[in-house]
Amino acid sequence: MIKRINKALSCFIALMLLSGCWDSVNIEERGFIVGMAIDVAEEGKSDGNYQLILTNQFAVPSGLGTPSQSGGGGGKSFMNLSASGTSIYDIAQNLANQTNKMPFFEHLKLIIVSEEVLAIPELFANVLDVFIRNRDTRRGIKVIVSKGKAMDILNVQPDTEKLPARYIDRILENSMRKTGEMKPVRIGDIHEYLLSKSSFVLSEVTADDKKITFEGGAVYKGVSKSIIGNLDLEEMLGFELITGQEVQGPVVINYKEHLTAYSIMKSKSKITIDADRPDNIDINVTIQMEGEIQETFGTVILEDPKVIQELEEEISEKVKAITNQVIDKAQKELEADIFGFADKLEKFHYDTWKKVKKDWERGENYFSESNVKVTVKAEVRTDGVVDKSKE
Amino acid sequence: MRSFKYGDEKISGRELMIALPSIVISVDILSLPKEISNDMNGSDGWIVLLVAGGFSLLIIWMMARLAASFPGQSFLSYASTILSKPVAIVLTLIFGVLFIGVAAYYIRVLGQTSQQYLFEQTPVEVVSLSFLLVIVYAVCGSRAALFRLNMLFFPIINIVLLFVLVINIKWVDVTNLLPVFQTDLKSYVKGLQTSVMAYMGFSIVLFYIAFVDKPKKAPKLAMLGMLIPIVLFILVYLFCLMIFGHAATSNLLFPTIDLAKRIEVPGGILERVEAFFFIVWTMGVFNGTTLAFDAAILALNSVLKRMKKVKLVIILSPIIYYIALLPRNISQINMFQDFIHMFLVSFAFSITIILVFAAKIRGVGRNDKANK
Repeated sequence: MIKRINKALSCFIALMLLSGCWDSVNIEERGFIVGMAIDVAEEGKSDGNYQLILTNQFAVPSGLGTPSQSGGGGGKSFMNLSASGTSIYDIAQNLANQTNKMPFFEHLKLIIVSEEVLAIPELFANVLDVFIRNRDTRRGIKVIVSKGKAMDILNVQPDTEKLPARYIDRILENSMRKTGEMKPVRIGDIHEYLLSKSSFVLSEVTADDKKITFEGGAVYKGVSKSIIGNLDLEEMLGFELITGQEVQGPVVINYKEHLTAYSIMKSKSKITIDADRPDNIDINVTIQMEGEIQETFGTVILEDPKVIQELEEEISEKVKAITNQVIDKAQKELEADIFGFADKLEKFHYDTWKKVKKDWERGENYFSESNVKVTVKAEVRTDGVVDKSKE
Repeated sequence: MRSFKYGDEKISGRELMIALPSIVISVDILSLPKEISNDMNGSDGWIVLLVAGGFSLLIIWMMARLAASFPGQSFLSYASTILSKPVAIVLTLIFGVLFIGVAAYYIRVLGQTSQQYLFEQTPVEVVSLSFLLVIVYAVCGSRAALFRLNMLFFPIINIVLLFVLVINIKWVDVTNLLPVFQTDLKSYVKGLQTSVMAYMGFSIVLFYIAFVDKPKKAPKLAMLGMLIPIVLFILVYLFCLMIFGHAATSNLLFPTIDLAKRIEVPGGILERVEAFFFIVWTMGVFNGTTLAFDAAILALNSVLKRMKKVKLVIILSPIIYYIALLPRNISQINMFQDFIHMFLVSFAFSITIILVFAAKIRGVGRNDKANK
């Protein structure tokens, strides 16, 4: 008898213990947040803190449909909700009360921050804190800057993709193949930059109804803790080439007074630093490129080795001009080391680095005083399948 | 309750060799890269990990030699031979209390970490309690079975850990390891302290050699086993540095978890590989905690000979649960951790050295056949 009671009791306890789960949320009750946008409210500062507007983009699964259904359910596939407040976490909780779904951040892919937020010192780092700190968000979330209101970017409705956040995410994934649009910066990278007080560049976009456009880059200066300037598309190309990102795309040159388009297929850069004295830092950047001639308004016959050489020189000159322009801008105008030279210096010349650390981007401005030399080696592999297209 | 009895309660040398890395790796693997890179500049942490590892090897060799020179005798019995019975009883009791602390600490870290990353709403008390119940179930059974379970789990833990490292190779930036040899002497001392403490768990060797079937081989196997955590710690530390950089590594609470979270399998089918990592890590902590708990029981049981093992387990578990829940927040957990680490390491090291020398001077052990 006692044995039987024991058995029944243990079954009962097992039932109680094993069936409950505090954290169970059914999948249809989850609100999948795919994108977030952060703006400064028009009121600006109140109670010593800036009023922020947070916009969450929830995916609406019924609107997404399945691929076979071509066109899906017809309903809207996303829902944007905004609320304002001073703390991002507080706003996010308010937003959670506006929907019937539990916000779920694991699938967050993209954070858009408006230029205004970045222009206010320290605000950007403060705003991102919650994303770096939170356990649900990943270090792989992409961060971009919007030229106007960030929430407008989440409203673009492209014809090809139903979810705006996913559309932008895809563009960022593919953007490595185009020049002037850079590799997306991830929140984990930003964490490292912020910790080491480095300067960095975020890509900047604007949006209209149907699409987003890349505007270039926003330069965040580590020591001023805010953005201090912009790079246009050509300067972005120079920046990418120097930092050795996988740039692919066109460079248009004038060869014998005819427009000729060269396409970079492969590029890499090597940065070597010669720093024995703080006031005499030589930075050598060697950029190697391989590519093809894609288009010419004149005639180019590559079988002639001399023509190749001339073309290569022409391209190298052009690229050198592009890169020198952005270096000039960084050193003179922005005084911000966006190329990560400081990082290289710390790694390879630690003794010198210790001396210049304090005054790298301010005070003595060793960065601006350093001599940056760019060497470009461009190679032309082929010119397409014909010799001439016209006479 | 009937339980299956093995032919004997002996463990093989190889099982001991696996048990050591299990208890060492279990919890510390998560936060070690952060702690080391907090102390050390650049990638110099591998030096202290290696030196501390070598030091641990030496100590473990001494411990194993000492215990093996009294084959089949428990710590209490050979410590009584070397020093005296009352002293030996006190030492054994202190070890027992320390192992209880280690078990409590492991349970708390498991509860805290899984609450932080997996169960937001579930109270840490409940997570810890359910974990403790599983531990109690394991410890109540045969001791040899525990070691066999260890043998089963350990390779899985290592394979998953290595998998996490290998799949992250895409993000590796080798220049993150620079600059090298730029740490000042004071930091070396601090780093050494941290890394020696990370290896603390192996003191169980003092107690378990008595069960090894061929004690002569035990010192060599114990050292071999100890090599595994040394290599793993250095690997994980270097990978964290190469992937996150020095600044971020020293600011992440659990860099190893973030390493697992960093994984992105193309295609978007598997978005949360870290769940898999957590399962395996829980197995690792389970191994470590059962060993610590079992070592505590072994120590206490050798003093309280008349008490039954199950009874002791039932008395100890509420105490462990209470200690585990004592720290209120993360900083108190860290204090608790430092305290346990520091105490166990310094106590185990000094006792070992004292015992070894006392045995030498008094000429007991090894040739001491009469004493058996």
